[in-house]
Amino acid sequence: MDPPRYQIPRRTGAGAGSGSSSPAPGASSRRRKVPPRPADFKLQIIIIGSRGVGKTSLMERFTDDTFCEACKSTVGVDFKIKTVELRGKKIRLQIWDTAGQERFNSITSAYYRGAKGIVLVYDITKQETFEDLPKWMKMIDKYASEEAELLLVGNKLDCETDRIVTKQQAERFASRISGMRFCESSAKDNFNVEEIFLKLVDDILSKMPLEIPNKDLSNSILSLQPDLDVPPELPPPRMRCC
Amino acid sequence: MDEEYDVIVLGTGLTECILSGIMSVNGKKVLHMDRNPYYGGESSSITPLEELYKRFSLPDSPPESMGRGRDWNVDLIPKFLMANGQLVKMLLYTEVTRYLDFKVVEGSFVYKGGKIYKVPSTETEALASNLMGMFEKRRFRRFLVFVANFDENDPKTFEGVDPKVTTMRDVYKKFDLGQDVIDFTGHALALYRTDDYLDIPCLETVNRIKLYSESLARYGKSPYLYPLYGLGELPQGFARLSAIYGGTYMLNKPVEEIVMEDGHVVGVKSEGEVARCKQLICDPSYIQDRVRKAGQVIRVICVLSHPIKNTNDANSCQIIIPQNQVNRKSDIYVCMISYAHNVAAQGKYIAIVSTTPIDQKFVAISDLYEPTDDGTDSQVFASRTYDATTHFETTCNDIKDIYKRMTGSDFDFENMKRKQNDVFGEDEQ
Repeated sequence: MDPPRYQIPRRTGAGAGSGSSSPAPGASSRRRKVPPRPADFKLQIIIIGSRGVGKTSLMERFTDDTFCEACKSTVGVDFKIKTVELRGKKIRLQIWDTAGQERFNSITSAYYRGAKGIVLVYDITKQETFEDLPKWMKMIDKYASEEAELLLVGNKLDCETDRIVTKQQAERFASRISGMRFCESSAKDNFNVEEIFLKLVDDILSKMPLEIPNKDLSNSILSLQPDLDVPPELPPPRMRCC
Repeated sequence: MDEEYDVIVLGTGLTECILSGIMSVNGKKVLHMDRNPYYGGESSSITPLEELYKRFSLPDSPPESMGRGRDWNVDLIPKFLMANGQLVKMLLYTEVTRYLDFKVVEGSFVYKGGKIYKVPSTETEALASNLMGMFEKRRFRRFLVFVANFDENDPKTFEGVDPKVTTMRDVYKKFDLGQDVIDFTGHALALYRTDDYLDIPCLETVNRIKLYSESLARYGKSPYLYPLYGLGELPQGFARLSAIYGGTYMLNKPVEEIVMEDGHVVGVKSEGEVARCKQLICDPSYIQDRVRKAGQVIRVICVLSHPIKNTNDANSCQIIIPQNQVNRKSDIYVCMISYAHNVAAQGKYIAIVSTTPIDQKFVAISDLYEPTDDGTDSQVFASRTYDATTHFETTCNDIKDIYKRMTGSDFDFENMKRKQNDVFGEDEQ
């Protein structure tokens, strides 16, 4: 493998971890002591695919450099944040998990909305997860932004001996969809994971104009959600006589 | 599906999704089902436009002038969020705000004598307004100051008014307010749809006016917020919260039977299997035998290619047509939103309730249901149908009431807070 061409802040693995069970009551407990340099961009990435293909594993390998063999359906993760540096910019990635709603085909349409990048995952050892791909593409076509970058990932490369879906089959599938890249990976062996996320982000960046304000939305849009440095309480209303 | 749950929820309307979220966050094992292939039930936003045409049985597909079908998200139930109201509070406490973006509605208007007038949102607008005369404005201002200072827990602010006894009619008399001001206050500020409130104790009315003022004070243009992509985003946000905390979601799931034993619910039968539960929450459409009709609402969805006249080209607004202006039993509301909210194709506006000229209109008459059984014995908790009010306060009251019936404790917003960290990776930056 070529040495990585990107600077990525390496974590020592002592991060927030996966599926934390510490009873921290929401955002108010996460106060940073030293404010970091703010990110230049904020990007939302979603991971899609059938149950058990390794969506959460791929995310956790990328964000925490961890892998949990025994972990079952994801509970307790909304999204994970990872900051990377690419093309001289600091990019805050928000990687969303499906919250297990794919189990009965009940992912909300809202899940697809703000995503700039979509990672569509299948398991190379399970044919049905590959056959499910058109179903996910239908949802993406219906609800995702047309500018979203698509990345197809065949996961569980560590199980090469049990492979059912060939690389050619997947390449053929991806080639039919404009702009879709294809890769194979292993979250377990940490093969190609970082590369695929960074490639995806790079593709997104290459399409964006050079200077974009942090919130690339018009000023009139409110997110109601307070900044993470501020406790989530309603500010006292200012009285105004109408 | 062959499992035991603490709570099964039927229907993914806003009420049910919020309750599902609260239950999951508090450690209950929740199974949430909906017979539809989409989230939201009666509170969903219909997409694409072709679906809306189908739903209202229009014979043809939308013309090309309507733009791309997928650009449309049309609300079935028109409502706005009061910026300082309970739903916004619920959104903040649960941090479902992470999944939503909002815009302030650009203005609120009231119909009087054949014209529409802007409901003033600033001092300047109030001074310039033709809604009331100069002297009336002075008396009205004194009244508003009284309302602003009024604190139901501090008798020093009562100024001789007993909130639990003095009628609103008498409060108006105390401040020497004329009929114009009374109409405006009751219908454009307190948002009553009739004049019945005049003869009940004034506490409720005073609180409603306070809610309006406080909401207006937040963002200035109007007291209302509206989520991008339509109201249907709201139930989805709460459903995600529930899923993150372990809730199981099944759309497209027909419900055959609610299984009862000895007068209380034991489970739900669907496609031959039974899922067991201790408690059940559902919308009225899942239990026709435990609800009664409480009224009707007529809604008309109108698609326009231009903003409404005399609203200063607002891309969103509310128009209140008081009952006495049009000789009806209750007020008519018009909620207007547009392409600016990602609910319509470029250049298009959606006004729900009638207005002219129009491109196309869709009419629906809905029955309003309320539960006949409060659930004490059966452990079946039915929600109320979304009503004709213009915002979500009554929906939130229903949620709080169901919560109390289910748990025995009073609702506390603190119960909605996420109990554990579910966002990872910020600290390391």
